[in-house]
Amino acid sequence: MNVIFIVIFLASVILITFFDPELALKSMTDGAMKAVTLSLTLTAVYAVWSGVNEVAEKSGITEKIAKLLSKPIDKLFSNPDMKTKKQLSLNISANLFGLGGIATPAGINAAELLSEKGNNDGMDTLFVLSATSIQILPTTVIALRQQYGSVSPSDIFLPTLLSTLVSTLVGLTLLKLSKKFRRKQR
Amino acid sequence: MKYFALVIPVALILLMIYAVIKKVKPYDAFAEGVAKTIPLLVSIFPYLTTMLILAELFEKSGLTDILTNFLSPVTEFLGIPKEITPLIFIKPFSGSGSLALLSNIFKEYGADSYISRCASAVFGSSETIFYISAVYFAKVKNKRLIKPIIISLISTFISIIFACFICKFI
Repeated sequence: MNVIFIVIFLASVILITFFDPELALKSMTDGAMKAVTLSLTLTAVYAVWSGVNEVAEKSGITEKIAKLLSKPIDKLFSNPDMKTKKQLSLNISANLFGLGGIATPAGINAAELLSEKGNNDGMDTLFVLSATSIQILPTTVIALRQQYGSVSPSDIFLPTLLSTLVSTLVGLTLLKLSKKFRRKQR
Repeated sequence: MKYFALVIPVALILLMIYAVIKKVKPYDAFAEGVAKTIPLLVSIFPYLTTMLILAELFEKSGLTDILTNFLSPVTEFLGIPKEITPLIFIKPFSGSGSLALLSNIFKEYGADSYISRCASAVFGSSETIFYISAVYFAKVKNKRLIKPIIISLISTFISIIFACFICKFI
């Protein structure tokens, strides 16, 4: 991550120095400003979902979801404990429905729990699974198409679903291959 | 689409009724959940901010234009229209930036054109990868993210080629 940061940072700032040096500090402040507004929005979204989530947790629904998804999770994350499993299943099922407000906090907790257990492969899987997006209904895009006068805004559903399936499957396969490759090297 | 909007309120009603049956104190439990929000934000904020500063620099420096010009022969060869190449570079960094690009594409080419459908599939098939790496792993001390980042970028790219191909037919 540090390498990526320094490469992009230097490349961008060097470019800016050439054509508009004043832009450097301005865009950094703009970026930080975006982070501040986004954090405020996220605080509101997480507060709502965190509250709902706690009620679900206390009434035992989270555990039921976790048991429902138990088999695929065991396979993908090499048998995590129940606590981790709960967070993972919340993350995955919320991502499927495009509920970032639940998915993200659960994902953060899951990543922390996995790292405490030293489950590095599990963390990689969590990353790839979230990064390649497994959302079933692309609500944002459909709303935007509607706004721009599309005749049938939701007909993008199938191509999006198929491509997101491709990205997830390719991602998981590459992860598996990389694990095999590492084992061979030893 | 109309029925989809019902899912969340109905789920909330069922959840609350179930919680009461299970003798959970809904008011206290809800507040306990909310209490977890601020610590979570505190742990996300440093990485989120750093990443968004980087994203802003990347966008404003014109690095995307250079990358687009430089790589568009390759991407066009793979069947990705030139018009959506900037989207490919911005998407991993910035959700709001790529959403702005997407609406521009809709405005310019019409929401039902091949370019726009392609862009929609590309937008929907991946996530803001660097945002995920910043936020999800904010609490993880030993960050080893290079491998999953590279794998995610590669698989996203493959799915983009696939999306542009498949949008020609459906």
